Formats: sequence, structure tokens, C-alpha cells
Amino acid sequence: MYSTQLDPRADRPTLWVWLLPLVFVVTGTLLRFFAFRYAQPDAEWTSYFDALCRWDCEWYVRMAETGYDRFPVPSRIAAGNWAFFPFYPMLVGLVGKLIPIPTIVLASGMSIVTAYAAVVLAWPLLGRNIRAYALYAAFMLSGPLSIYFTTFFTEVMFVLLTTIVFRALGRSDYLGAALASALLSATRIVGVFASLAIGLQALLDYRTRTGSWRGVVGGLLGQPRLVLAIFLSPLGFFAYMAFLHYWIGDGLAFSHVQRAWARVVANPVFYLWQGLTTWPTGGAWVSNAQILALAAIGGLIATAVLAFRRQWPAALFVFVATVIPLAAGLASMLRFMAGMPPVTITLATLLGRYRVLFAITLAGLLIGAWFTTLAWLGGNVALV
Amino acid sequence: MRLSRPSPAAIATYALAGLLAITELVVLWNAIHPNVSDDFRAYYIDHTTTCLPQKVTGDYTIGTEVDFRSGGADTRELRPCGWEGPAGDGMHAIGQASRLRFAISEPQDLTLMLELTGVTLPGPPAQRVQVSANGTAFGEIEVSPTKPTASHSTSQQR
Repeated sequence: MYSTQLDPRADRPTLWVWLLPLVFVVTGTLLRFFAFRYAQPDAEWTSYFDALCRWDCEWYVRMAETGYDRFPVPSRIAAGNWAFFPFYPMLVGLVGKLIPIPTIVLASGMSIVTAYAAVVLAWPLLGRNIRAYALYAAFMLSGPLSIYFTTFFTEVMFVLLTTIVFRALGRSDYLGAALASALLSATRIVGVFASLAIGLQALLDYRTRTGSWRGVVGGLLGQPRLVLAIFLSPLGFFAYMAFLHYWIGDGLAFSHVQRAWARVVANPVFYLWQGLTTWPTGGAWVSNAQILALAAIGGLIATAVLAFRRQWPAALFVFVATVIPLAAGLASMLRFMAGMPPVTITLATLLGRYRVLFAITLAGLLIGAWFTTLAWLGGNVALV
Repeated sequence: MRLSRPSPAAIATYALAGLLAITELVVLWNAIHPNVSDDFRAYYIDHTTTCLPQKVTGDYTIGTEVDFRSGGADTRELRPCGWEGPAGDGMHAIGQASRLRFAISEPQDLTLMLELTGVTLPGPPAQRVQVSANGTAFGEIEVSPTKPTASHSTSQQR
């Protein structure tokens, strides 16, 4: 991942930057649609959006339509929907009041627009390199995991807001980063850790400016905009806690309710080892647990690359946002890593470096979309 | 060293930051002091039970034998929590506690008869089952694969 230019005009997207992702919007939609027709030939074509809405997507649809559960949960289960952070589903619900079409259709449209915006905004973070940019656009809009960004998952909003945070931090615009971070912290639980990245960037800027750590506390507290940014950045997280306390009496219900999903906190290394040593059965090349473990390891390797490039705020953010969910198990780790822009942008810059590697990767992404969509429709749990 | 007077904009920014900090502290304080029911606390927070009771009607006609196995009547309204199924061999009690609710209109002497089977799983060779009603313990029975069926009857003034 690269940093933004000090002069914002240098990062302005060109016409190609605006147009290229639109090509992948079209190819991605076609690939997923034809995979759906292939997997479910008897289904009505109008059920395309519903067919792709699986797992957590179904929770988000219900949240957008009926809001948060009270306690006891009306459907008489222990798994209340407090586990899911509010910003994106509530935004879809709000827009749904103005545009009365089926929620999943509206959400899918909003997700595609959000993913497109996230790709265009990532242009400077990809080093303004057209090959890296093409790979990233293909990955988000037409890649094997584009389902996450084009149906109804919070990952797409997480990607957009994280991209804005790191664009702003590249110019040391703490307040701009904090505004995006405030929304990010209401989008997914790990969004709150963007506050750490802002704090670390401020520390590094102080060190660069003064050449020493002397007087660092006073130097930071002497910047009113930075002080405001520090308290503004986790505001969405605290707002959600305040809501939960008002709604069901427990501000930490998003964490406590994990018990209903049998999530047990343990050493992340234990979960990684357990996943890696869960060998495939039935002739498969790799087990689902191994796929999830390898996704987490991919995130940790990207952290190392970011650290090697001295992009410490991004490295810190990715590390914490990988290890914390990993401590509760491997579930959804592939989705979490796919929706982590510092990871995917870094990979795109590496794979876009050489023409041949670029061409192979691009072809792999487009072909992979077909097979992964079939696996998604078939209920492959590694993709959950 | 020369101290300069902070600008009104800086003062306003600090004031806003202070307001946010205080608000977030209040939210945090509330979060670590939840105001929830005993059932909520026991299941989600303290983890002292695996059985989170759900609202059920408990509709039941006295004297009726209820079959919890596949093919039996729908027993959802008798099961507040701690059951999974029905499966072919019955309704599986899961976790450390399982509850049944029978709504009886008039207090009266009643006899409860249960038929249970122990399922072979990794763990202790037999399972101990403590039976209670309305918070009053009736007694304990033991079920195991070698002694597959146990019954327990008792009466209680309700």
C-alpha cells in the first residue's frame, strides 16, 4: 500500500480510473448471474439476488427491515442480532424507506456502488499503478470473493471507510480520518481499532517533525484537532454501546451474544494450528479449516510486508484486526481478510508488478469468480 | 519561552473533545454495569447456565402423554430451553440444564412421569439427571447406555 500525495491534485483519478471498474462491474455481474443460472437452472431469474444472499446476509436483510431484536428475542433463539454492527444495515434500511423495492435488491445495488467508490478512492493507495489498480478493481467487483462486496455484507462499507481513513492519514489529516473512523467503528467491531492507527500516525508525524520523542505528550495534546480526532474516531462504537444499553440493558451485548454462536476465546495460535492440521477428507485438496487458517496467515504476511515498508499505522491496524477475530476462532476469516484493504491493496501492488504475473492473476480472478459463486451457492462453509 | 493565548477555535475544539470524552466514559460505565434480567445475566454474561428460557405457552392437558420423538405432536410450546430435535430417537437434552413448562390452571397434587435414555458420547459412562419443578428438587436419576431407560415419578403440591 502506498501513501497519498501531499498535493491532492496529484491523486485525482483520470478518466481510465473512473471507467475501468465499470468494466468489472459488468463482468462480475454477468459471471455471478450465469453461475447462478448454471447452479439453479429451474429458479426464476428474478431470484438471483435472493439466491446469492446467504449466511450473515440474511441477518442484515432482517435488520434493515425490522431493526434490532429486543430481549427475549422474538424468534425464541439465543442468537440476538446485537452481534451485528449497525451502520450499513441501518443505512440500507433508511434508504429503503425512500426507495420501496425489495431489501436485497436495494442492498445489492448499494453494495455495488459502494464497492465502485472504494475502488476509485484506492487509486493513490495503489501507487497510481494501472496494473495494480486493475487487479484490485477485478478483485472487488469481479473476483472470486466479489460476492461479499456485491450482495449485502458489511465488508463493502468497511472497505470504503478503511480506504478513506488511510487516504486521510497519508496527508496527516487526523480529523478527516477520525470522521471516517467514527463510521467505521459502527460498521464492524474491529473498525474501532482504526483509532490506534490514527494515534500511531500522530506519534510518527511528531517524531518526523521534531526528530525526537522529547515532549511528545505535550506536543500531541497541543494539537486541538488531533485531540478531537482521538475522541471522535471511536464514536460509532460508543454510540452503538449506548444504544444497546438503552435497548436491552447491556452495552456489551454485541460481545456477550457471541455465546449463542458457541464462539470460545482462546489463543489465536491454537486456532491456527488446529485449522492447518485439519486434513481434507473425501478427496479434497484442502480442508475448509485449512483455507480459513491460510487466509489468516495471508493477513499476517501482509502485516509483515506493511511493517517492512514502514507503514506502521496500517500494519498495526491489520495485525489487531486479524488477531482479535482469530482469538474467537477461524470462522469467517476468509471474508475478514478479503475485506481488509491494506491486505488486498498490498497484494495487488505486489501481483501487479510484473506483466506476466499480472495477466495470470487477472485471468485467475475472473475464472475464480465462476467457481466460487458455484461454491457459494452450494453452501461451502469456508466462504461463510 | 512565550505562551500564546489559545484561539477561540482551539478552545471550542478542546471543549468538544472533552464533551466526547465524558460521554464515552459514561457509556463505558453503563456498559460495565448492565441492567438486565437474571436469565440474561446467567446465560450471556456469567455463563452459569446453558439454558436461556424462551417464552412458551406451556399448553398442556393434564393426563396427556406427550411424545417428544419424531412423529409426535409439536412440543415447542412445552420447551423453554435446553432441547434439540426432535430426532429419530427422541428429543436431545443439550447443555447442563433443560427445561419443560406445563401450564396448569389450578394448584393440585400432580405426578410427573419421565422416560429418558442416555446417549453414548465421549464423556462419563452414565448421566445424572436432577429433576425439579417450580424450583423444587424432586430427586436424581441416572441413565446410561447399559441401563437405557429410567423413569421417575413424584408428586408435588403446586
